[in-house]
Amino acid sequence: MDRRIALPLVLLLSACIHVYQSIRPRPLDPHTPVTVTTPVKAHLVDGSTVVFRTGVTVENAVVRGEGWRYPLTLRDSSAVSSIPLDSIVGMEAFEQTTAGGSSAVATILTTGLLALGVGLAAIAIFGSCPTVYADSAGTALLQAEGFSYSIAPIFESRDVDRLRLRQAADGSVRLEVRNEALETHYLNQLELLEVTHAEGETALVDELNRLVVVADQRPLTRATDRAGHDVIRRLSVEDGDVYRTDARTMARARLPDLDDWIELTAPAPPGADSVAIVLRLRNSLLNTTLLYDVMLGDPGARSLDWVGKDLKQVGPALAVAQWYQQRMGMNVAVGERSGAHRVVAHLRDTGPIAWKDVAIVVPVVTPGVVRIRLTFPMDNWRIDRVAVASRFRRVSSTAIPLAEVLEAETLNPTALASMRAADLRYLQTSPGQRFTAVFHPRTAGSAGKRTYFLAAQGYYMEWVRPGWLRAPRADHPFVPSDTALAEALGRWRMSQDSLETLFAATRIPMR
Amino acid sequence: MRRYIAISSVLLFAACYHGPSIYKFGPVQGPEGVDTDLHLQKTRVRGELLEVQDTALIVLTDSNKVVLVPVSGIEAGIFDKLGQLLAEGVSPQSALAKLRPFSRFPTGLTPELRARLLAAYGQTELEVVR
Repeated sequence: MDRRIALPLVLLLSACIHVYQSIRPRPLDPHTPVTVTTPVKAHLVDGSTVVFRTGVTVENAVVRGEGWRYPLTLRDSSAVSSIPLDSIVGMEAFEQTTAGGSSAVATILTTGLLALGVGLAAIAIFGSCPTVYADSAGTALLQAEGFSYSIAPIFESRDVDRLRLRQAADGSVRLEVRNEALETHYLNQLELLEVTHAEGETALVDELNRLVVVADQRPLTRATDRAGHDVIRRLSVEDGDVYRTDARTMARARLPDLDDWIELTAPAPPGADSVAIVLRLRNSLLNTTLLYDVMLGDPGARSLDWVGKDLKQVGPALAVAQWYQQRMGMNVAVGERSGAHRVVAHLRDTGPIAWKDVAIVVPVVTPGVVRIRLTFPMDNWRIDRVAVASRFRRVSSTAIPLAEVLEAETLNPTALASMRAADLRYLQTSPGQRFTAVFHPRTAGSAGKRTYFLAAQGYYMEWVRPGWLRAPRADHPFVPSDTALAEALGRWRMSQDSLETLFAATRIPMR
Repeated sequence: MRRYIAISSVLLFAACYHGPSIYKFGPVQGPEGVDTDLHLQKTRVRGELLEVQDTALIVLTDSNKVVLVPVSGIEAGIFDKLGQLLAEGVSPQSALAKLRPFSRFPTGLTPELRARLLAAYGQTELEVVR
């Protein structure tokens, strides 16, 4: 694929999306109704079913369409043209997919979960692509979050994440993969990558998912934020004391000035033409606010069509991806002798759950010193540590295929076949589901230290929340623009404390 | 860029589609659940899939009985247009997740609705078939 196209598409997929329910009800303009054009089935409180074969229009709190209503026993039927949203416990919108296997996929709206007694649906904000855990003395430790922001099949992507784990006593690597969000995950491939290197070296992934081994990491000599504050102490040690955009800077956010930046200075070895910037970071919940609250939540039921149809077309998908590339993530620029900054790399959003360790190779423009500017939307990142490695080398890895998939302790050969290769077979998981992926590295004859990376490929479909249906704010599908980012920034600034607390507390419990 | 978009569009439109169409598939076009054919060790259950539970399927049989079939006893589960999704020795969780939207009651049956449904078919309890 042309890199100009591939990059923005990949970038859209790179961080995890999360959602929350802080929408203030505002009646939808009755003159601009929402239309879903795919077949819809509505399950009513009284046990009857209404089938809208040509789709529905959601107008204020009423679902309208050419429907047929069937009682509990289906013994007769009657035509119906409208039903109040309050009488519905669940709706299914059906769409045609091209993901192999059975090509008809249904999306159950979360109103149905209420009937199942999953009360979390109304308040759950924890949303993410698959989360990956490893066992450590009986405790599940978070290792990574997979193909983030892959919110439609066309955005299927492959993420590579460094794992901090030890092999089991039998030499195997076991990872628990969870669906902890109100999403359907489609996993195409899981693969373990092994890198062997010397003690004292650190294996990392770069901004394009390539593997890099670094050594001689040195602290920064200077680090200041946009407001001129010294932030070097925050960035010097991996301790959870993270950099975040200063509240006063955020309060001044106005279109078109929505960015924050950090200026970094570090020594470069004599004669070096490049060094590697080592970062440990993760996203804030700003992109959660943007992508779920603004992008999917505001349009309400329109998001069904937007995700199910528009984003499957190259044109609309590119428009979103290109905008996302320009606005989100992080630009890494080097300071030129003229004082200007030249962007040399772009780090895509990585998700707000798991810490990501990355190395980004940058040129040394001024002998003996490297000056870097990290630019990003205000408060988009939590940065725990930054260092500069004077030695680095790109390395290849040994691919270790998925060997077993266990659900509970039962082997699932179908799931294994679905995820062993990147093909047309997918494993579909629902909220609350988990499985264990087992890999068998070949340990014999390999000297040195080994670091493992998980390569995960797939996409996911977000579940449309009942609150989005009941209280849409926009009368049109999402339009990528700085206005949308400014709106997200404003909401994030006002709600971040409560959102962060609620976020962690509303993971979907595992079955 | 334009050429790539054009090629991509052509490829998308030229693709062949397989599997059930949403415009022909019964559970999409009507209120019924998917036609179900369950092979157990000593018997066979055929009918409409009413509800998918975590460990069992509820089926309205062709003889108008509402039965509960524990998944653990199913040697083979074949579903119209979806194919065989359940097999002995294979963990069923993914298959159940896939099936649930194509049941008549994907959001589940409340006790009250279940009682009404059973009454409609002259039953007071679910008949368990193993």
